[in-house]
Amino acid sequence: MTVGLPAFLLLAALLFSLGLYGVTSKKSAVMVLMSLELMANAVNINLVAFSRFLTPEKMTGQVFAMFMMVVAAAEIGLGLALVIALYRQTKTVELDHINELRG
Amino acid sequence: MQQYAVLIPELIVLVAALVALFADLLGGDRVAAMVGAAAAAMAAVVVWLVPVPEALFGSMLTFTHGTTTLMLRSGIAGLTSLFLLWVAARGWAGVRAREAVALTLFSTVGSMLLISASDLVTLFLCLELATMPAYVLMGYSAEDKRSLEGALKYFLMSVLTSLVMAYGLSFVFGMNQHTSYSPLQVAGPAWLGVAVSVLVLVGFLSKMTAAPFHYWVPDANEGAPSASVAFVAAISKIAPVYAMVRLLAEVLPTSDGLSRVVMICAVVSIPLGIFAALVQTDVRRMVAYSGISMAGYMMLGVAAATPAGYASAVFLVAVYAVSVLGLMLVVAQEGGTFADIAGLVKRRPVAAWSAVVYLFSIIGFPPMVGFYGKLGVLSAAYRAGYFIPVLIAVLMSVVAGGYAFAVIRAMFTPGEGAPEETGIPAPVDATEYPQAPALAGTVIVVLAGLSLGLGLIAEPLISLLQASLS
Repeated sequence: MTVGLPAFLLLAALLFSLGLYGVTSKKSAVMVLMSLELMANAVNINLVAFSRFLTPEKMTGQVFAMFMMVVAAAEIGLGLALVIALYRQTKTVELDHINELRG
Repeated sequence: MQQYAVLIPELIVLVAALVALFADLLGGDRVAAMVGAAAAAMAAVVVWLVPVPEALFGSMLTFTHGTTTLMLRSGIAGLTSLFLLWVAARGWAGVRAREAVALTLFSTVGSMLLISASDLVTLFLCLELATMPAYVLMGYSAEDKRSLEGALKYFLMSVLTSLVMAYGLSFVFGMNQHTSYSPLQVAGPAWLGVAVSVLVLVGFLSKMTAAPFHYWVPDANEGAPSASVAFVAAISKIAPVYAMVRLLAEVLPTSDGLSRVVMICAVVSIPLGIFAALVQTDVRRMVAYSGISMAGYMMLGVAAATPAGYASAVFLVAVYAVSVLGLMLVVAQEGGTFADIAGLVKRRPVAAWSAVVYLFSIIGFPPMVGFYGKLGVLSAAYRAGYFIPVLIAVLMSVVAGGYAFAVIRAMFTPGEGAPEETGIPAPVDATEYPQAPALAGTVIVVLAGLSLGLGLIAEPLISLLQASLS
């Protein structure tokens, strides 16, 4: 049995949904950032799988995935910096406790 | 080599950003802001002087939209220049401004490149380059937990929606098998195209602060330094809306399903933004809610899915940015709550009267330019057959008058209990910045002049945009 494109798309969809669930349900800012990272990886799997199975000779998807990784790394780094700065002020990373502003 | 000359404006802004990062060697915040303002102004002019090729880097960037591309790139650089001039005069809410100036310029580079992006990779990269500095700007007061909290909310929402958009883009790539802009090849049922389009649009709608991606905006605006809000709520919105319109026109399939989704967002955003704006007593929160309603009006034009609708959606956001930039700069120097601006007309008549012009433009009161933007999207949506949404939108723009007049009333009535002389808030940056009220005042008057004057040439501008988008 060979593993085809649908299997990879399904894996990506699963990872993406897991990430989305994590972002919306987790209370800790760090967990939310990790869930975001899951979603970014789902996108990368999608890109690489499409590229591998549809246009294997061109590598477009792989290059796109490289750029995605750079952007995701920069974003998560920025997010961690924000969380650390906030931790210095409030001594917590629980999103429920960060509620100075009325929402 | 000659075709690369078209990127000289972006290069000028980029160099200025790097110079601003090292402003310590040059003499500090004011020098950084002045260099940035001069470079952005130069870029705004140079855009018109360099030869423009059809495409660059294997059509990762294309300039086929002619004057529209030039106008938007020049407009973004020009507004950034005015904003930085104001920063040079007044500083950045009492904290070091030089890094903020650099971040502003980086974001401007991203916005300017985003205008010509015509490849999924450049689209995503430029969009992120334009927004990532914005997260930092919103949390720029690192000692202030309110600022950080607002920035974190903004960051989480924006990254989440960016990733949803990236997921959609990966399907666009999968269906087309290449990343350059071309009509989406939907293999399979039509709803697949709609689903992919919705995923992609989520990213843009959240950048435009449309409902249901709006909840962070008022909090972030209230917590962040007002100067940051001026940039993020105004200038950084222009490029994404054009990129979205371009993507819809060139890649994503237009369908009733998609239009309906966008229209529902619009019909939710407009009343939500306007009713919530009515009860605010802080101009910054009010600006956030009015931005949500503006996103709704913009989406009316997008849902129409005609060149006229797209053109007026872009025009609306661009002119809205002019007025909001002005209003937020007034807030940044006078304070945001109604108590802060009470009796402003006595203390700073120029700022107060300019604020009146901005507010009228924001609610779409003729002859201010905002009126023509709203008129454009409403007539486009009407012609596309959306009677009920247009009716709601028109009724709501009457209600919108309420929040504008609440602010005006606050400015024109003296504050309770506060004697006139002590009512003047001490400028936060008085120690570092010997005030240069003339420069800041000039910027505010110029923006008010634009809010008024652009109205006179609104129709030719919209038809120019329309011609290049059809």
